Amino acid sequence: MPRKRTTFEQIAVPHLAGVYRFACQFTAKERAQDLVQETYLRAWKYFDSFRTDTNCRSWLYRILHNVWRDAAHRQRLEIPLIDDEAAGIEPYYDWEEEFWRDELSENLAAALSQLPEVYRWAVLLADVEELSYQEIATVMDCPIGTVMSRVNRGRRTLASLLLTSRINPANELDEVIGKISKE
Amino acid sequence: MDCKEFREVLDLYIDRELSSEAENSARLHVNECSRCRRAEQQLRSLRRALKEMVAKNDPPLGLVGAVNKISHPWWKSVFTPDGQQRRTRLWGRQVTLPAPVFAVLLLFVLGLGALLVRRPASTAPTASISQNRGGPTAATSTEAATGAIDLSRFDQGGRVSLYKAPR
Repeated sequence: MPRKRTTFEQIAVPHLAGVYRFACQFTAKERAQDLVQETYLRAWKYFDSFRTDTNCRSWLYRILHNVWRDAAHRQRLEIPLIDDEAAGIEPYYDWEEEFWRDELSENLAAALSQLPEVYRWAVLLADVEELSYQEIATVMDCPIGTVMSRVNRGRRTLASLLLTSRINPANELDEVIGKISKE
Repeated sequence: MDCKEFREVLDLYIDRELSSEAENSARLHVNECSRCRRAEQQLRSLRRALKEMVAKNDPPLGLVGAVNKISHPWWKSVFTPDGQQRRTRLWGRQVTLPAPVFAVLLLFVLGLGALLVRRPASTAPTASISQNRGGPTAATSTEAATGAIDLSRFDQGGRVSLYKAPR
């Protein structure tokens, strides 16, 4: 037990800040604390099954994803089902010119909160946590092809939301999401 | 690699998911094409901005404390508020269990012993008490026959006669 505790404190607890920051992108801060605490409770419970030569960070994110999904189901929140395979990968980024003139982070939080959650997971895991596509597929429990299309589509949608929020502040974000989802 | 091909693999290039051969080919194209180079830089800017935005939230101290407690046994937080392991001398050896735990264990053992000692004394009289639910007259006759006390008297208001001094 003391050895398990020491290992847990050395390799799992240091990721607390990252896991909390990540959880904050999906819910309010108070709720994020509950998610993180539940994540670490499960991590401690199943820590014996964790292989210490694998990536503990992606293991924790996988637990967080399960906790978040369970919580969403408990609250009867519908996680939008998107046919990622059918959506495919869009070859072009069409937001090159006027998009980057101003400070990028101004509207980023609002745009990110409008991004459908499956895309948000994929984009944040790829861009913030810099996990490999294989690790993201394990965390999100989906094929690697789905990860590719989610990352691609998530970034494009996020960019479109940012662009729209600058041109039409706050009003037409929902329209953009609907339009992109129908594409 | 041309612009169209590069844009198709731009995400994979940024995320370092291309094979080394394809990555070299993409890098060569980026060096040659200013438009694709700008697209790559902008995607990297988006990634940087996301990282900066997410990094703003620090976990509250309460959460840090709660997570740190998860891997510690409950008694440790109760008996050693500072969270430090206390070493106690027991039979000439230093052990890590805190002294209050021994006190609690000792109390538990003493309590258990007291229960075991009291049990035979309390069970003895119950053998002579019958649980006759019949009427009072029937109970009196069986009482006389067996010498047992009929509890049904309590239900019939016979408590006074039960406790009368024997004549």
